[in-house]
Amino acid sequence: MQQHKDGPTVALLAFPGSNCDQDAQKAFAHVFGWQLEVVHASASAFARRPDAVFIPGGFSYGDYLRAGHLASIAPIIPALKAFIAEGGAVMGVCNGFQILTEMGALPGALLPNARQRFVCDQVECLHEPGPSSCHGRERGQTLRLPIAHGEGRYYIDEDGLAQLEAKQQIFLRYADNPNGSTAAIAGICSENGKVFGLMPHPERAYLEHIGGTDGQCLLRAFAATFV
Amino acid sequence: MKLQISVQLKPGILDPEAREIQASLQRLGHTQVDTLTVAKAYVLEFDPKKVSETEAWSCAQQIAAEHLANPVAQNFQIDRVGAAEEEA
Repeated sequence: MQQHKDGPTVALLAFPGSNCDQDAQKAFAHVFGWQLEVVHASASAFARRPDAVFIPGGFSYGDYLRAGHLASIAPIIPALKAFIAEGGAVMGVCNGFQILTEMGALPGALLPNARQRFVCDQVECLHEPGPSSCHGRERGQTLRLPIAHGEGRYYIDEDGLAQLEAKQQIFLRYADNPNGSTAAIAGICSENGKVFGLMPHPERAYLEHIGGTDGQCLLRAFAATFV
Repeated sequence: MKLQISVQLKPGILDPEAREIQASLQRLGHTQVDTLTVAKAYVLEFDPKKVSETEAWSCAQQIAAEHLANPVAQNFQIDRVGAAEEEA
């Protein structure tokens, strides 16, 4: 795939069972004019150092063992860990968020939804104010975003939650907690504000005729961390 | 030898599956059950000719702690199973 000559290199990690990779490619092409560079999970390294990494949703490795765990020990993961350790920008959406928590890049865990059902819906989310660019310019705004997950109940213990709150790492909360997440958390970032994980799908919310454009501001906020 | 690793949610974390099973059993009159917990079991089988018992336990411990259980939300327990059939 040809990289847009002026655009940054954004690697799209594809695992067996990823199914939002094409959504992500179309969203980044539409919003930024960038072609994502697909990197398969079986690769042992990035062909060239990316400027950012996007981990799409899906059911990597069939969600066996726990959603995201088998992906978190795939061959490409040591390279991803090294990229994160160097301060690289990463966004993981849905299964991508599960993978980031399973590999320890973000705190907490994603458990089966409290109501034991797969939830597929458009939900209101609150874009929380905070210091990182992932919080966006328009702080405190309400975003309407699609969700589609069976294991999206974000869990973290009291101490962990207190730390997330104190360091303003929670950038997205559900208005009407659809899965029983701790503190209605829908998205968090790392302490350095470079690694983002969220269950809602901004890459499916960038055009009016597919249900709205509210995802664009999250993609732009992510892009602002590496452009 | 066989080692069974049981993984379950830590106490205090909502397990809707366990709650629903217990509620249904209570409705059928099994009110003696105080708490019902759901656990997932993995059974690892080791060839005693190739692996010592100590090595097997240490291997199971590592696999359970690093992969089968998520330390954020789950506990695990390892038990030896099938010892009676091995002797038979």
